[in-house]
Amino acid sequence: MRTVYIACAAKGIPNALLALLILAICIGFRAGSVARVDASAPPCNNYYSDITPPENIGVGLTDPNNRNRVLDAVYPKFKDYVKDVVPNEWYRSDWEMGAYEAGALAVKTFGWYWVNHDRGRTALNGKCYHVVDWTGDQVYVAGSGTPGSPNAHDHALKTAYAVEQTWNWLLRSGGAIYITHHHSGYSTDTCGQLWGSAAPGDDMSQWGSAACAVSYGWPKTTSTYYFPNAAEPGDHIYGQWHATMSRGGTVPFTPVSVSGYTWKPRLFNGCGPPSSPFDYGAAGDIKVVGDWDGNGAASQGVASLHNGFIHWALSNTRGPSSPSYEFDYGSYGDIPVVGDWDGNGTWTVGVYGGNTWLLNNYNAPGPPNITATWGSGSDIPLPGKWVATAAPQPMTIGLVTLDSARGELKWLQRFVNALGGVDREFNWGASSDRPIAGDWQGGGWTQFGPGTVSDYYPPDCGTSSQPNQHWTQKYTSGAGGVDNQFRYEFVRP
Amino acid sequence: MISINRPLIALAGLVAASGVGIGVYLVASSGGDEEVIQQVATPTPSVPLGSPLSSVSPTITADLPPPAAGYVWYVTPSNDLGLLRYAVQVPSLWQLPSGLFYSNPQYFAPEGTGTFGGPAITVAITPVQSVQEEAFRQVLPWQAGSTCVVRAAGQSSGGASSWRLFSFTCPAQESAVCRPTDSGAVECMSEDQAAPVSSFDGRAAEVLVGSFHVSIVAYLPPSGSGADAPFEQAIASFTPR
Repeated sequence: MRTVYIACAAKGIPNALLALLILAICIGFRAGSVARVDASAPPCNNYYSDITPPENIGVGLTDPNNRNRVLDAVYPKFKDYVKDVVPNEWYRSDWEMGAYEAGALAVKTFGWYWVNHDRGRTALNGKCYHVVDWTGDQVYVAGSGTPGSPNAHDHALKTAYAVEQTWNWLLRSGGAIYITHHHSGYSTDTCGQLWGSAAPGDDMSQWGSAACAVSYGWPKTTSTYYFPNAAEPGDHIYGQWHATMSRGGTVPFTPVSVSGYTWKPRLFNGCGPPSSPFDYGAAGDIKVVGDWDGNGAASQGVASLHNGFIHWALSNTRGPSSPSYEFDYGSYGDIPVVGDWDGNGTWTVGVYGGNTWLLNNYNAPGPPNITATWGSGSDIPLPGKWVATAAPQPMTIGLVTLDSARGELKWLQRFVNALGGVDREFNWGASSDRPIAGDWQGGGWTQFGPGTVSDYYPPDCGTSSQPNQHWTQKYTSGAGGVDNQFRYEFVRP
Repeated sequence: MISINRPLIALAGLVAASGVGIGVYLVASSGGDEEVIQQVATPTPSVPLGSPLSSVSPTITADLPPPAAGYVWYVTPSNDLGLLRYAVQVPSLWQLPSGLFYSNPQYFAPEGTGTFGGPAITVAITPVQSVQEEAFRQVLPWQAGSTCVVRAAGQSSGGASSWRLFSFTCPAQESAVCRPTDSGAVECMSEDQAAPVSSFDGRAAEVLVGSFHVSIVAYLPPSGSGADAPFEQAIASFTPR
């Protein structure tokens, strides 16, 4: 039997205190209890979704002097985490926006994967975490992604914009969130080039993504690097899809929001509950709305990625229904767009890839009727009716991009579907807003105006639904104030 | 039997916080054939929670054999996560964690060791449903060692298990990549490929225990030695509990 002796080489300790000390140690030996983690620390192994991003992520804070020691864990909001990682991983401030957008998707998907697949990691204080804050996983610096904050990088405005504008998209393989590794690579990397031992298809060179972004947008970049492993790159996600749609006649376009595959139209441009929600498509589908049969009222449709192509399923019936049109048009790396390209009142399909628009006047497969090179790969495609007239007019191409000097959305509009200059340019909306467009006035006034949807805190509308999505509308295209605003739909931040 | 746990550390912290200088010595007698004296470093109020506190294993129980000369048992505390508990021998002069909490991965190294310095040992327990294989990569830098060169190095029958062995070379900075050359060597170059960058070598061992991958990863010092013996001793002594 072993014996434990405790000898105290202390000066100035009263005997009573010494006795108390030894007694406490003895009690401790008997108790043999195990310290418990701070009860406020959330669990890390209770979340899985391939559709809805987690609300929080556990981040292990490492010792700057030795990154192998994880001292503590914090649990930031997941979107904030992504914003606070991207500028530290895509660390150059002189890259094209498409590189930051590809990085935003890679960072989001990587972090999300480890929330889905908890590795049982715990810090030295017992708190669980999913990822560490350095390059073992992804470099996280709190506040670095918030423009103007003390820790912010000088390109935080760009990276925060990239996170917001790609938030409704995700990268999946076989329908599941997967590991989107990324690393610096070489500054000489060409688009698609990758060094290192990682298997092709689950790794991206940051320098290589910058090379891609010179010519391509994020869909092509992510498809180039993650395509070999990703059966379905670029799925559209869950309940943050927002648009507005015509309900026929001369009434204004009104909101529609989709959570998973539940469509929630709103009859008025104001606070209130959805009207007759219905299910259509699948949660991972890309959502679109348009007047597919030219009857004056819009209905729903979805586009999904299948066998290398974009597969469309459009319904003429607003509500639960079978598709009225099913066909393939476009391919991986393209962003689906819809519009009335020839002004005949029927909305048809198109895609935007790189800086090229391929627009079809029919809801059917076939070569494009209109090909227009206009814009850059990282711009957000947003077509509409831009001319101030009550006469019938086609929908023409438009783009939204970041004015990084002013931290605002910049709208670029073209009045014909053809190569050429910018016919109208103006700033409207904050860089963190997600742009939409629509005919907000109706009444035969067909010009589309700009709009935005953004997160609003706290949720408030005076209704039980407590929406936190803030919608703004401007009746005509051009700089100026907000003509209408309201909150509609709650989306978990 | 020696058992040191939370109350001892807490008490030591209390005494330290009171401003009284004190040194606590533990003398473990095994019946006269050997005697080990180890000093418990006195924690100070400035030491953050979770920092290494002691060079003594936090819990040692009677069912373990005496450690090899120059080593001490480290025994994990229990945890609420259902993770595998284990005991492993690590060099007695290395800095050990307090053992108040189950920390995973668990890192062991001499005091003052830098991030990529060696010698150092990391023991990681990874649920199999999280990582399919080669879970040791998860503790390598650069996102599972994506810029490292990792090679299989056979098997070792350490303890009661058959461990798969690996060796690796990683760049010591993110903006660099290591890759094998035609001659079979490994070169690590900066992102502009203009110059070689510093790198570090390591070894890894992995075995499946129940529903967990057990990974032991060693960072080797530049001399190439110093962690080999602790690495092999960790493999040989690893004991699930």
